[in-house]
Amino acid sequence: MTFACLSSPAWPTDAAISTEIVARALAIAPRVRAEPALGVLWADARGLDGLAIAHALLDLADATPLPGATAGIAATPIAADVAARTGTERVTAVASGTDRAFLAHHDIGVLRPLPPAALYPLLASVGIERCGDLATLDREAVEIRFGPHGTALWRLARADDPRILFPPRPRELPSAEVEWVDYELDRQEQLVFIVNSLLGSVTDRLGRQRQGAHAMTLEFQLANRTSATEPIRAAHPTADRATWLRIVRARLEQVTFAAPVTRIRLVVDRLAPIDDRQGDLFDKGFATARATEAALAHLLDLAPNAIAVPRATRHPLPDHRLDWAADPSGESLARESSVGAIPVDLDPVLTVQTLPAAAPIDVWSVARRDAVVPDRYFDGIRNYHLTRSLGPDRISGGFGGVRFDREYFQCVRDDGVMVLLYHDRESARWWLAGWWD
Amino acid sequence: MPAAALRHPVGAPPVPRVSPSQLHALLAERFPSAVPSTERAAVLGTGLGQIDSILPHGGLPRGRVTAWQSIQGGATAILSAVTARLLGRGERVAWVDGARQIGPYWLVGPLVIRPTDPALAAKAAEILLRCGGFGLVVLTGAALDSGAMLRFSRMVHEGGGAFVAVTPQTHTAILRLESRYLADRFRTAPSPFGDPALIERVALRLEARGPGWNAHTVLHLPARPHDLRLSLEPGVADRRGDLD
Repeated sequence: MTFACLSSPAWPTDAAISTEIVARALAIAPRVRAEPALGVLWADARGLDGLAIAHALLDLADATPLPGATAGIAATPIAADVAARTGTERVTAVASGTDRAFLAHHDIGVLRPLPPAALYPLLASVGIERCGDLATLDREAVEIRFGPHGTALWRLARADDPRILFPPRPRELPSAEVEWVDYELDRQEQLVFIVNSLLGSVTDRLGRQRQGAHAMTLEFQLANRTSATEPIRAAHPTADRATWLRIVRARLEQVTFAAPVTRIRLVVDRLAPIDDRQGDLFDKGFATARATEAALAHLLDLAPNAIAVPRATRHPLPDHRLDWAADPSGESLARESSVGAIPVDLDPVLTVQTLPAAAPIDVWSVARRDAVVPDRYFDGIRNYHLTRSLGPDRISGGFGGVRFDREYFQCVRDDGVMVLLYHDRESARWWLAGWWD
Repeated sequence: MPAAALRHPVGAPPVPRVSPSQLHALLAERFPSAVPSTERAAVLGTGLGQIDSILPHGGLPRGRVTAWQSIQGGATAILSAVTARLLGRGERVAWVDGARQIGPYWLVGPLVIRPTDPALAAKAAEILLRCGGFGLVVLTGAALDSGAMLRFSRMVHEGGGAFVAVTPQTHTAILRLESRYLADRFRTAPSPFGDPALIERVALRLEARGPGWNAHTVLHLPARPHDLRLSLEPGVADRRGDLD
């Protein structure tokens, strides 16, 4: 028996009394539901002593008072409802598994919710007066003759009640908020400081529940009476405060608020248990995944832009052919790089390495055919003789933008290093661009 | 889990009790080519046979510092190839570029650390080494002294991965590598006029030294030209196709 129903033909119309009844009924059962229009009060008796709850509800009805109150207990709401309203005793208990048999001898007029009144003459015309008469028919026959209302009534007559009186409780997700009225904050460091304290309470609670947050939302109330929300998410469910603080910091760096902030709320959107899952003996990264994540968080705390992700630009100049973007969230370790255009050479290949900025050099050149080629250069520290100077490879372009007109030379210095020099034809200067490594 | 669930079901054949060593032996028998991650070899095979042949025990030592003295070049080429092969084997690899000098032909995959402050490069390497999550950490372009090498020794021993510090100086390490081009072994491609146009291939002498160990090999490395495109505008595809 999972539902206890308290029914009274004289339910008070005063909402305050109904509220008081419900409040007192909550001391009897953990979940109650009042339907004053129908004159019933439902109590969730799942896992509890239904009979004791019914008697307690009747005591409550006597104390209120609710004149003529009776109670019914059954496994289905419809049976409990009918038992409460039609039972001859103060408490009518329907034995488990007998709900349909209990309803069978009752008139179909007791079933609620009530169908359209026009349905009753139709049922009476074919001799259906009791629930048992209707329940014995098959669904197709009822649906064809009496339509959807007849089908709904047929289900109730079979003690098949689709109502969900007590839906599953939504899981309470951890959240924290802080509001202030004496001052307004608009500096990012101040906001991060407050979010850090909110993270502390949220992650502590997550940790106690052995759960990790997969996604959170930061809600900011602004001084101009508007609000802004910033969703944040982690690559893996985690309750680590440092990890979340790193993600929050990276997120807030990109945000500009239209007005100072007066309230911050942090709410967890998605949870996942962080209990240890079954390991894979052949997964090299499994055992060290958390340690690696913690190390990256530490590293990003020291240098937020230290982790870099390359992106090919297809620029003709070697020193512009690769762009590096900072990865402040450290997610590049988890995802595949997007530099698909760059081939992965599994065998060693010497490639040119570029200086962060080309270094100016003084070059002594010699004539070869119709060009001059470098013979030796001075980089400000020492002289280098060039044993080979191959080139020039002329690269010019940038039409409509920053023009470039360069002659590149692949050279071998007397100490064996292969270097890349270029002569900027516009400025007539020589530069050291890089070396092969 | 309730204790009853752990009990052996009635009627089922008895499950023999095995020790962890027996389990390892069984795994080795069933999957002879697989290496469980719980078993870490003392060395990290590079996957390049010619390199492994000159390294003690056939690979880079785990939990120890390897110092690569690269005056002329070659270290980036070899370590890039090693990195690609390790990534293919499921290892995590981090490359700390202290001088921010990685060139335009960078490979896909390793975690790249490029701190704006060069002094942070060594610190970053220490953090990555100590966590133990990386099979190989490569540090280039950082100014190292004996104190830094000592700290690296401690961190890499704690983490258990392999560590290669590429420096122009000589440092004390359990394994020292030195690469040098052979001056008379540059092979060039001729221009239409018969003059040398570009360097195609270079012979590189790689020497490995350690306590009681001295071996070397000569590698013939192709040199990739710096320019491959015919189209000179960045947004326009090359007429010969996707060459870079």
